[in-house]
Amino acid sequence: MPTPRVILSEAMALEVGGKEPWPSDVKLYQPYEVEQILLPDNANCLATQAFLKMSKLQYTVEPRSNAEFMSPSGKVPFIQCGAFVVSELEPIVSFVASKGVSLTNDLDNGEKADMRAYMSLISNVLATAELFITWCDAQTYKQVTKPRYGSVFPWPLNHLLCWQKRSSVTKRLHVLGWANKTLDDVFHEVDQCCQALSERLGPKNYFFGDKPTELDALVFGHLFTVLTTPLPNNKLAATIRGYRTLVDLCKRIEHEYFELPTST
Amino acid sequence: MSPSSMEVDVWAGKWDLPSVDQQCLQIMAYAKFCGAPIKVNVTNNPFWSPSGSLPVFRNGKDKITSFQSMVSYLDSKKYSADLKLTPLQKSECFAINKLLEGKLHPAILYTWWVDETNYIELTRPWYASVLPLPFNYYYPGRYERDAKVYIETMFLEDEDQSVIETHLLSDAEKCLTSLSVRLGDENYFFGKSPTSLDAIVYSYLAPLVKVPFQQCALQNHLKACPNLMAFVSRISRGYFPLVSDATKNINLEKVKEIELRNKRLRNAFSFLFALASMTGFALYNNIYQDARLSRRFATKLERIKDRWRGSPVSPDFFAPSFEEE
Repeated sequence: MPTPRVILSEAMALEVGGKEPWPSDVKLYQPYEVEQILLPDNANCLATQAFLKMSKLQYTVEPRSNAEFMSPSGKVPFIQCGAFVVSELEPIVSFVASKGVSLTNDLDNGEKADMRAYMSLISNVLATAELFITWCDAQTYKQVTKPRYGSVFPWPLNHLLCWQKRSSVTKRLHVLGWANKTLDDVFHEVDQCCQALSERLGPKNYFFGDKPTELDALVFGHLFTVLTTPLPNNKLAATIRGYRTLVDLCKRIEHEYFELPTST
Repeated sequence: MSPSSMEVDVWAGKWDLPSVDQQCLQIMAYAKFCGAPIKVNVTNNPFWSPSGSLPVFRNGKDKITSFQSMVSYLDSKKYSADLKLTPLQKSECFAINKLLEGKLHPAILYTWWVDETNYIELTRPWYASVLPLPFNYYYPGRYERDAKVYIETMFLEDEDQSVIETHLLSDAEKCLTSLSVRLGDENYFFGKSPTSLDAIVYSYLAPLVKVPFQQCALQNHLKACPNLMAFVSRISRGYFPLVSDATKNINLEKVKEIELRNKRLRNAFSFLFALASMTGFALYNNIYQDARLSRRFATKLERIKDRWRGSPVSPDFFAPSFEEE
């Protein structure tokens, strides 16, 4: 691309992004879904896709084997919109909001605060649990993570990069106090998280009434990915299946936003 | 086990705070809210703690360091501040707790330990002054390293310091705004009486209000939320009324006592060290050879040295030019 790219922090995105409408050639970069992507990345990519679909914004998915290394924050997914590159769900949400598109216009301030709290519940508990199972559970690491993560790199690199990624994830889990947890502790945390979510959802269609918000997108991204990813230890999915209303929410969002136009 | 044997070891308080540490404040405030008779020991010594940091909650042989496990432990002993909460409120409490952990905690860590001005002027001196002697050289550095690793793992490897700071602060400010909106005009988060959520929020906000940081943008943001400021002073006044007196009299006395003891220890150590090095120096340079009083000792030393050299022992030990002969 000849145009210079600008890497945007959230605050800057709010200032400069507002001038132009949403272009039609927005690209969403993510790793290859079939052979490469891992559980935590897949959850984040799906959540972002769900958010864009709920906002009725056009985008095309660009699978890249090195998407992680292209992203300005080192995390997938990221979107390229005109001259701007924005990564991760929260900055993307505020970037989209700067274009005048928002799913939360009908919410009052209290509800918005509430939504922020539940979103950080997901990214603190569920996302950390996904990282733990993917990288710290020996069986999953050997059978799933290592072959998949290394699949796109040639021989010495596949081992090296995998080892490097694993040590950085372990470091993160260590400072969060998760390193000494057992699998059962992790499942217990996930159970508490789902309990809290299902209490909040209640009998409603979406978390805040009849219209979906980015919280619904985030919940869908994580829960749907966990439910549909085959792992050697599938107790994580079993924990989530215990909450009927949450599973129904996932089905509803999938049916509403992902089934009709299958070719994205 | 009688409930009265429940104790908690904490960091000392200063600046009108019951304790300067967030984790300690959280446990102390919750103990007050649920009315559990817990004895608070200001130990300032994390050496015996299984997690390497304070607080440590003890009841007989049980040792607990995390807040959540302490809440459930107290629950099992029939002390709880959350009895009246509905499941939905409990879920909200859990979510807000995670919001604080994810957004406010990193910024507070940054303010205490990573921001260089605060660390050098405020954090390290305080921890060094309250920790007992050998530990004051170890723990401040260790906590600083831990905090730095925590912040590092959130960002790419060589991210610019100013980018990190802006990101952390803007997240934390949004979080404070959310809290302020959520609290509204209420006294406490769930109505008239405080719950575990109030203990958690208080523990995060009180140090931000009271500690005289050199650099803290968050402090200014917090001062712009009058309801949060009122919330903090309400709990301080209502549940820790003696703190301002206590920190002045009892606590300060105790801290002073510890400081005095440390000072004495330090003096004794430096005296012994100086004495030892002077004696060593003197022995090494044979100064005692000339000293009449220690003649016997010097002869012995000389004999040992001669044996070492392999030369015969001189009959006149004090002949100065023995080797030249």
